[in-house]
Formats: sequence, structure tokens, C-alpha cells
Amino acid sequence: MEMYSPKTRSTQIFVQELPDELVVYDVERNEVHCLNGTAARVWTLCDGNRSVAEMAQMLGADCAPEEAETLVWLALEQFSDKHLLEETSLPSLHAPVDMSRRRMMLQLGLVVSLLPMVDSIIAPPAALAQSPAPGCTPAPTGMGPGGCTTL
Amino acid sequence: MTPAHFDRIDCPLALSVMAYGVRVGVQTNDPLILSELVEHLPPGSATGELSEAGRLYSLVVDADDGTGRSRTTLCVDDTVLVRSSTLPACLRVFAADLQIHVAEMAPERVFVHAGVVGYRGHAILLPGRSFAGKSTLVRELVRAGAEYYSDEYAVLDSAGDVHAYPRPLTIRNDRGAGVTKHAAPTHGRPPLPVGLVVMSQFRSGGEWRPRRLSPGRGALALLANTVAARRIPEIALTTLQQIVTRVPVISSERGEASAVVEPIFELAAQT
Repeated sequence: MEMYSPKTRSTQIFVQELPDELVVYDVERNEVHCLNGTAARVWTLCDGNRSVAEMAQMLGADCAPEEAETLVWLALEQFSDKHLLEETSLPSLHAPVDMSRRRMMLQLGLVVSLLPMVDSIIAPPAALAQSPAPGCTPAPTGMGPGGCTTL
Repeated sequence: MTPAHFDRIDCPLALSVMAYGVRVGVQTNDPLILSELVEHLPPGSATGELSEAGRLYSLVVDADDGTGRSRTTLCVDDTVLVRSSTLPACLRVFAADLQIHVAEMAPERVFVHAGVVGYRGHAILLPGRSFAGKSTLVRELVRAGAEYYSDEYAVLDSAGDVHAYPRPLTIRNDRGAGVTKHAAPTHGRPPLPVGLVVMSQFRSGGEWRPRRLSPGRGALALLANTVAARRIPEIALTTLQQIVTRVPVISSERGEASAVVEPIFELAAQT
């Protein structure tokens, strides 16, 4: 069976490095993603040449190898959901069968801080980032904090 | 009204407007309106004779609508923005459209929708969507001794410093109409480095429980209020990075603005 080597998108993407985080702007969708430390490390390892097992080895997470591999898969799952991988979907045959988040949380127990997290928003169109003219009514509800729709 | 109709209207009164490096043209056929148009220009605008301009606003008063009443039409280039029997309605749309155009297109500034006050040589940024209570919080901070910088935009330069956006502080009444409460600051206010960012949302009875956002989440929160986020995401993020990696970004809901003034000053003093 061919080894799965995921690759993050490199076109229509702008990446801003922050201390132990990455902010990724998807120009195609005007979506902005904040990757926490674990997700950011997985992101940098997704070069299309490394297998998931190799990425897990290089992750440097303070946990068992199996758990590290699950962390990588969890990050990949989020990258895929948010259209940040070259592939349109993850190869399900390769993914572990016990990928449910609930089980993951139980497995990882006290090391929840290791979980990869990707927070996302939609970048606002210019007209949203302004107070309405006097006499206008409040913006419609359903918007996230900061005047944008959260994903 | 079609663009062709506009071609037949004589607009002899025209001027060029420059604001934050963005040039537009403004023209009208009514001499009484021109001064009102000037009063609705963005803060810091300079006017001159109409020359080559990017966007062209045309405000035309047309009395020949068959009813004996005048009608005012506002166009941007060939597009009708609003047509109304009342001039103030057109002027409000003109002011709002021009303000957002300048904020989006300014070549050397990043505009973040935020209230701003100065405190001990640093700026406190209060980003937030409309009706989050920014102006009310700005007013309370100013009453308690902070310097007024803006209740609409934090105007950031490439170093991440904040420039004043000198328009009068405007507090809406219950019906949403603006009521000016505070005079505009002088143009001499110096740019300030940011010392604190406070994301707060008013909720009646809301409890002040500040938590610090990570730099990445802080960047997302600021970008969500950045006017040109879609047009210049790289420049916007690079500018915001200089803020979120240097100063705390605090988030909390709040109740009455007066109750959080001291806690905000304490946080600002710590940085």
C-alpha cells in the first residue's frame, strides 16, 4: 500500500509566523486560521515527502508514539476540513479506525494542551468593519465576536 | 436615473478630496450643497480643485420629478448609490461610503474598526463590531482621564503605531441616531505605540472576566475588525503581528462601561 504523505496548500495561501503559532490566510476563501503549537508543528512537517508516522516521530510531542501519530491525524483532519491540504480529502483507508475525538480525548487524558487546534474566521468585507451611518439599525445576529462569521 | 441622464446634468461645482493618501472627486449641481458635502468629508481631508481623481461622487439635485419636490441622487462613478427626497439621507450615505472607501484604500495605513484612547503614552485599542459599546467605553475612559483618539478607527502605520482619527465622539441614542458628545481631538495628537488591546462586548449585567488571548487568536480578533483585511491580508497581518506579539490582547464581556474603566487602566499600567 502506498504511504500517505500529506502536503499543505501552497497557492493562494499567506502564512504569518507567530511565537508557537501560525496564522494562515486563505486568499481563495477569505478564511483565516490560527494554528496552535501542535497544529503549527504538523503544518511545517506536511511537505508531501513525509509519512504520517515520520511526522509523528518528528513532532517532538511529550507522549507515546501512537499518541503522537493520533495527534498528527487530528491536525490533518482539521486541515482537510478547512481546505488547507493539497488533497481534497484524507485517505480514509490510511487513517486509524479509532479516530473519534471522544476517544482521543480519553486517550490523551491530562495532555489536552497537546491537542492540535485550528481556530478560524471569515475575513470581513470592508463594509462590515465600520459603524453604520446614524439612523441605521444593528447588524443582523449570527455574527461571531469581532463582527465576523466564525467558521 | 441612468448614467446617460447624468451626462446631461451640468455639475459645475467640483473639487478634489485627498484623505490618508486616497484621492476622490466630488461634484454637485447645487452651490448650497457643496459646503455641506465638505462637512461630511472624512477627518483629515484636504480639498482642492478637481483634477484627476479615482472615484467620482456626484450629488445632483433634480427638481423636475413632476411633483414639485426636489429629489437628490448620489452616484459613485456610473452607479446610483441612493436617491432620496431628503438631502440629509444622501449626505449620510455619502459620508459613510467615502469613509469606508478611504479606510479600505489608504496606501500606507491599516484601518481597524476600534475605539482608541491614549493613556500614559500608550494607546488602548478597543476593537469591536458595531453596537458592541465601543463609543460608550471610549467616553467613560476619556471622562476618567484618558486622551480621546477615535471612536471609529484605529489608524495603524507600518510600525504598528496608532494615529488619531479626529472625528467627534458619537454616541447613538435608543433610536440609533447619532448624538455628538465629545469634541474632536486636535490634529496635533502624536501617534502612539499600542499598550493594550481590549476586546469587550457589552451585555446588560455582563461580568468582567478578562482573559488573555494568544498572539494568534489576538491577530484573528483584530483582523476580524480590519477594513482592508481582504484587500491587503499580508500587509494587515504583518502590521497586526507587531501589536499582538508585543502587548496583551484581552477579551471579556462587560456590563456598564463605568465599571471597567479602572480595571482597564490597571491592565494598561501593567504593560
